[in-house]
Amino acid sequence: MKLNYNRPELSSSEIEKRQDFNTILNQIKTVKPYLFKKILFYGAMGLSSIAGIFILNSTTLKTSTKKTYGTKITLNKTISSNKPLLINKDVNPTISANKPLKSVINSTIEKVNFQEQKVDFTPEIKTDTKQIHQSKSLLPKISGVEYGSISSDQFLNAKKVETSNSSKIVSYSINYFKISNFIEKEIIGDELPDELKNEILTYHNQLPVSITNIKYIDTNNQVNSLPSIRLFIK
Amino acid sequence: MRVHSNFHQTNQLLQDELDLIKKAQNNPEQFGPLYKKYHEQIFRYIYQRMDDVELAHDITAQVFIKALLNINKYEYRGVPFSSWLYRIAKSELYQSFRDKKAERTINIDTVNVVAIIDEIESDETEENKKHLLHSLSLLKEKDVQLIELRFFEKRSFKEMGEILELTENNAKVKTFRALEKLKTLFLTKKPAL
Repeated sequence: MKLNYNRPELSSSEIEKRQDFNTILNQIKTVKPYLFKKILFYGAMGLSSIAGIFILNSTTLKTSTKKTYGTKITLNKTISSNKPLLINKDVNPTISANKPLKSVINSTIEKVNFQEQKVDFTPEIKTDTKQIHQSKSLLPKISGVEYGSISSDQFLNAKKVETSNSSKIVSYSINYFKISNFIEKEIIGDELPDELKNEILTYHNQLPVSITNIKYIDTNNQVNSLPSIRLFIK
Repeated sequence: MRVHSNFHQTNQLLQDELDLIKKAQNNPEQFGPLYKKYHEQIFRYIYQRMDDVELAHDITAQVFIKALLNINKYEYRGVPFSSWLYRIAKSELYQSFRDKKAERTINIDTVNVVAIIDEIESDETEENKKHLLHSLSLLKEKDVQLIELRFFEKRSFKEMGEILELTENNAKVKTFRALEKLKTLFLTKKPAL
């Protein structure tokens, strides 16, 4: 601490000379108020909050609307290996993996980590619904079952994948679970090989069996697709 | 030490001042009369505690800028407007000490030294005067503040309380204690003859 003894005093006139109110006023005008003190700041914050709540609400509404479409199916939900999916009969959803599965011919087995599979039904639902309307009479079936539950005996006795009319199925893919592995096999022709049926019956563990990529030859000799089917073996 | 304090004012003067404040709250250009009224005493308060006249003027200007920016927050609570300005001045001054822009200085003259020597009941010798200055420099900042306000600037305890944000009684007690500390330092650290 500094000490000054008998420092000469400044006179009032000297101090008065340094008075400059205009400079003070000018400086006030250049000082910008803090952002949080501006009304605009609160306006912007309020609007963005309202927008955020609106977006959040609309997203929730969208999800809940879609949930009602496929009864128990929820969007982007990871399949649980011990819970069978309950599917509305009116629509034919198919499983589509996040990672595209490589096409497999006959005996090649593709191993996919089942726990990581995600089901995204929405686009498939739209496509398949159209297909159903277009070729309702051609719905494929196994032992007369188009969709849903099928008994083990019915499945074992099934010889081939059929259509409602006499259209010939030329190929299809069968997807099933072997323990916890998802397996896809492509079959040429419409027959259901016995070996395959036995394997599915042994390992299906109440999980669905899907028949997809069903190709048939129409009356104009052109190859067309049929909607996929999903069966639950009881 | 001259202190042109406007602390002791009549009710009429306080009311006039309040009208000026209300006008300034609506229009900053109306702050001019208040600036003129208080500029000198705020400058002297600042310059008393430092040694750089230019910096003292800058800090004084800063005090009035802050006052104008916050004039709408000012509420009349029965104490003069100057108390509010002194608080801003104190805050700005100590900020400049913290920023090392200004050096804390005790400015004392012979009259004040004699007054303090009388208070601590000692003799007015040259040696005692020198020793008192040395003892003052050993005091803590908060005690120096009280001694400065009371003995150098001759302020009332009420005014000291307003500036230091204390009650009048508390200001009185603390000033007495600060003087006791100064007396102790003066008597115990006296160099042997």
